[in-house]
Amino acid sequence: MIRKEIVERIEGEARVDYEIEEDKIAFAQISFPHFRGMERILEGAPAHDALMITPRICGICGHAHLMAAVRAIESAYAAAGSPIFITPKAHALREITLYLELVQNHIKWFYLTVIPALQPLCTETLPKTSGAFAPVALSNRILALFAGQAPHSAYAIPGGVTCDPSELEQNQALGMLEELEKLLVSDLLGTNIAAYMEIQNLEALTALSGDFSYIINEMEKNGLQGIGQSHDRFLVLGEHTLVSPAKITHTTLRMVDNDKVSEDDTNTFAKGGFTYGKNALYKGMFFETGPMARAMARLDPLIKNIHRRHKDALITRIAARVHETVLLITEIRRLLRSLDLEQESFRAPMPISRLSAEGVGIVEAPRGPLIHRVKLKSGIIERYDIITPTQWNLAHGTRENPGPAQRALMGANPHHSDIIFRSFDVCSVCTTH
Amino acid sequence: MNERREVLSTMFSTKDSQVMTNKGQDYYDALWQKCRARLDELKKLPIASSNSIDEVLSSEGYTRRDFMKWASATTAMLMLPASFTPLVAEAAEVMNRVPVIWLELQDCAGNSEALLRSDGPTIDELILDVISLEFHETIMAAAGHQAEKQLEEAMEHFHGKYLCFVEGAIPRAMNGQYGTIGPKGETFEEHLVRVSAGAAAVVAVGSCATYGGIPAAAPNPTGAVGVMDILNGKPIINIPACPANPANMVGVVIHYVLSGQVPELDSLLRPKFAFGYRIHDNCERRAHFDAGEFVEEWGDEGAKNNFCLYKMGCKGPMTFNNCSIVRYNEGVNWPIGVGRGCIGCSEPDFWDKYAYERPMADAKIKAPTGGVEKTVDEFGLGVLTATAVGIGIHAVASAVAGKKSDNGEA
Repeated sequence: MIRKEIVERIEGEARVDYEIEEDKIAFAQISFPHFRGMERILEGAPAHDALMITPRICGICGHAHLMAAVRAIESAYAAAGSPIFITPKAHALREITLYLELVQNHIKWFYLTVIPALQPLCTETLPKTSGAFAPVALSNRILALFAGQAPHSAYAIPGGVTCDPSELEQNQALGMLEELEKLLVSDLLGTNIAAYMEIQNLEALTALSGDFSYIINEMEKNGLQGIGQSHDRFLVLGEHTLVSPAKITHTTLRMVDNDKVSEDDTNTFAKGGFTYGKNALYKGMFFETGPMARAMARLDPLIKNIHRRHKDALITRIAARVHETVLLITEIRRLLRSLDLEQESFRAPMPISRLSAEGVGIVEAPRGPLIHRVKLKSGIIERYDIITPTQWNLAHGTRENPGPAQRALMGANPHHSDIIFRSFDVCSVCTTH
Repeated sequence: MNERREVLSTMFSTKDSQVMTNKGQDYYDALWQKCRARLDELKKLPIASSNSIDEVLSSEGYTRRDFMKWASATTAMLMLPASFTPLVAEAAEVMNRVPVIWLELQDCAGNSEALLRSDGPTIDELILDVISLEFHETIMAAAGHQAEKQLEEAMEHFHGKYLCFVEGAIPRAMNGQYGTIGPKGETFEEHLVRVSAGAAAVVAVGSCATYGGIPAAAPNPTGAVGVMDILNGKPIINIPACPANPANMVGVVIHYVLSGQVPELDSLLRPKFAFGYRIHDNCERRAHFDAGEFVEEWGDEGAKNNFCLYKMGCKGPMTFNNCSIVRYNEGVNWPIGVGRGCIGCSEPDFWDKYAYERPMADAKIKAPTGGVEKTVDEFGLGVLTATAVGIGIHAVASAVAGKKSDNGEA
């Protein structure tokens, strides 16, 4: 028997139609019913407008859009034979603010998305969702110190950044970061950062006392650790201080070629389909992206240990994202300390009005690679193309060749649909842009 | 749509053209009595939300003293004399009697972020927690038919009493098919019209809900418009900016609780307490403007010394908003603080005209008088106006927003 169940309004604006056969999810149709037309809006606009418009695609990960836009324009400068070399200081500041956005996304997702979705499946009362607020606010405050405001900042420009922090801001940021670390140590981890960094396997992780290990233990107790396995294929495309691009199949790491990335619009309304979402593919195949992919690319000992037992299941996906939060905090502190404030914030490139070239900017956003491709003619945008992480994770395939989230849902108990779906963390406003 | 704005503009610019910060002792005495009576009446109503401000504040480690400090700052922000401070505090305490339905339309969820206390938890955001949020599509647990049922129940139970907050634009092209919602596939426009029908007032939060925002940027692919371009016969309060400042959302709610009325609005239906002054008037870099010290190029000596960003295309002189005072993220910073000009995000068409870094001359902004200096100092006085819209606690005012133009209250 086929029973169709509809779940709309997940994260506001996604819709899933489940087909249930013999008490198992047989297939899930994922659709996005909203559209704004950001790529068309950018056509004909001056290149620098992309720095103002693209962050406003998303209120949650807009900073990643800013970074992708600025990288895309800078890459066009390089393609035109006039490469831009930003100072290590400007580069570090960009990484710091991007990482802060990742941190606040991860914490928000863990407390406000994962915990409420797991609660109905667990016997014990899970930690309070309010655990998210203080750390998220702190991350946003540090971000605002350098970027002016969160969300929707546009402080990065081709050639560097507009801010010129002094020791005062540097110390303020380090102080707030210490506060943030304290919160994570006392609530999330239940041990200090140095001790946490020593942990290399699941047993040691579950022995901790914080909210993180509590959730992992509850998942194991309630038999949820193995659910939500997908293709076990991962992709990282952005180059950062913490991770480099890689394609991972099971555990085999390979180099990637950005030209192999393509978009498929067969399911969209324009082609007579049912959604505004396009699929993102690498060599014509579906890949999962985000913190779990980055952990696999980094050969992270703890996540690889969990992966060895549970493959790309729900437990690995959740652990990878919380674990990355800690690594990010450590990296942000290293970058903050290494700032050489004497360096320039900005180096003037050739006037943008003389730039006619194509560029691509790729960053690792909270949920995976975000790609901006731009074609400029005399500083005016001729074409702008955006591929977002959720286009990878929530791609809509067929029963024979399902997208990553679909694959994770197929065969699952219908009661588990919510947590499995939400573990991919839908960012629907980005998906259709 | 533009004609309608013209009409509004004419209607609002008839009388005085300044923000009146002192309306005389008699006026304030009468207003105080009115607010007192209103609060007493509200206190008799059943509590719609179970959150009490005392519990919420103490659980986050705030003391009564912190709360009173907040109340006195908010009183000042609302342009009321200090004698109103205890009333503002009381208004925050009875705020859980005012039900709110929050709609998310064509948006980026950036304004709900404020509601999720992502910048907090400041007292402003904690107070937003206390409002009785009867329905919010993103935050609530229910989905699908269950959510739809909750919405209908809230609309029926609080008919004529709830505030309808709207986030996001309304796409009208292709019969509204660029944005549909719920199990029935209702368009955003149908949804907005249906839900706002029983509201006491509609609050448009953010520039998308106010003017159409970024989705309405040329060539406006989805035909996006703002709430005021759609709704008729309903008091509307616009809180633009991208993102809107949580302090201003709280200000509007407190004002409504306190007086039962919409705050004094300008021609774009923005509360004057927040949008009565230009960024430029209170900018921390204003002294450099007056001294003729400008940043001429990113990263130059002027940039290092925090000079004025006017020549880099800062739109502070033409932008009405209080972010130079309130700032963002718990007051930590704001765009000009990191050497990046204002993009005028609380003004109509900022996405096409004001945008980043385009010098004033290329921005196609119509200045009322010639000459840059004159423009800078005199721009906008013409659009500052006064009005008042009354709404009863139970009754729905049916006039077009702002039609009633008696001398306003705060």
